[in-house]
Amino acid sequence: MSRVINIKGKVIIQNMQLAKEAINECRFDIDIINNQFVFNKYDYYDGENKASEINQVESLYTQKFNIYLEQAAEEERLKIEEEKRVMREEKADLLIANAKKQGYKLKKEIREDKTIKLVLQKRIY
Amino acid sequence: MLNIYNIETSNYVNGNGCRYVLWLQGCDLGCVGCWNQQSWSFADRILKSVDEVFTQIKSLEHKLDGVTFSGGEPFLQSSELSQLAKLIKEKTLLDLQVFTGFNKDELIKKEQIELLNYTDILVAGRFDDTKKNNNQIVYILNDSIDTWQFNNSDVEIELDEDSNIKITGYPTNKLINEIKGDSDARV
Repeated sequence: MSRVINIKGKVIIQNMQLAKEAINECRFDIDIINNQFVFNKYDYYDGENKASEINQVESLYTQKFNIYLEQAAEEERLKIEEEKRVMREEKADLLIANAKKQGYKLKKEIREDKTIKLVLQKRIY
Repeated sequence: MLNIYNIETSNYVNGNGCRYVLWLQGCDLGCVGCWNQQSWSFADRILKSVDEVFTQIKSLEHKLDGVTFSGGEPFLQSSELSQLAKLIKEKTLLDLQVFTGFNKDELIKKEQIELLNYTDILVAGRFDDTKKNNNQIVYILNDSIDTWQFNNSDVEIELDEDSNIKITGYPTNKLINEIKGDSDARV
């Protein structure tokens, strides 16, 4: 006897593209409805194995999504780091310019470990 | 335990080359124009054992030329500083420079010979920013090391990752005021 079987997964999909990739890679007959993986079709076998297939798709999707989150976090970290570097460089340039106006010369400049060290010495005339 | 006001692990304006600088907490000399009045109080600030400080110095030895004690008044903690100085002189190749508000004669009278014996360069005398060399005399106590030219115009400005500013050395008030909008962190 055939009937419509509705089997829904537990994961809420936050990235549709990755969800579609997961389905394609698994090659299961699974849809996405209301941001969840769902099997919702006539099935001659009462949806046999469909719960397991949804679990597999969810597992692959979760794996992909975690990698995506890690990459996004890393990109954000690099972006913030770069913004801080630019701010630091600009501030250092401003400090050097102002110090020079006050008769200082730049004796040493060390840029390492995300810090800038400026050693200034008053010019003696 | 050493009572410490501040530590800089890489500083270029408190002696020759790159130095580990230890500013001790506590001083009752009341020198004229002292820049580090926050270091006068004898209340506990940063407490570290001699071993703890030495371990850090030893781990940084490859990047350093020497160690500097400043203050506050180092000779008011001379017992523990002598132990640290002994370790530095016996277990590293670093030189030791000490800034003190006491005169050399006062130190000899106070029987501070042990720390003096480990000191390569002593900068001694009541600090007075209105006088030449801040009224301090530089004594080279070890002939085998490079002399140090006291230059009380050297300033080191450090911008950390978040662009916070720390100033060490001898900035003019004008320079301080210029930077003050950004930070009052001065040691």
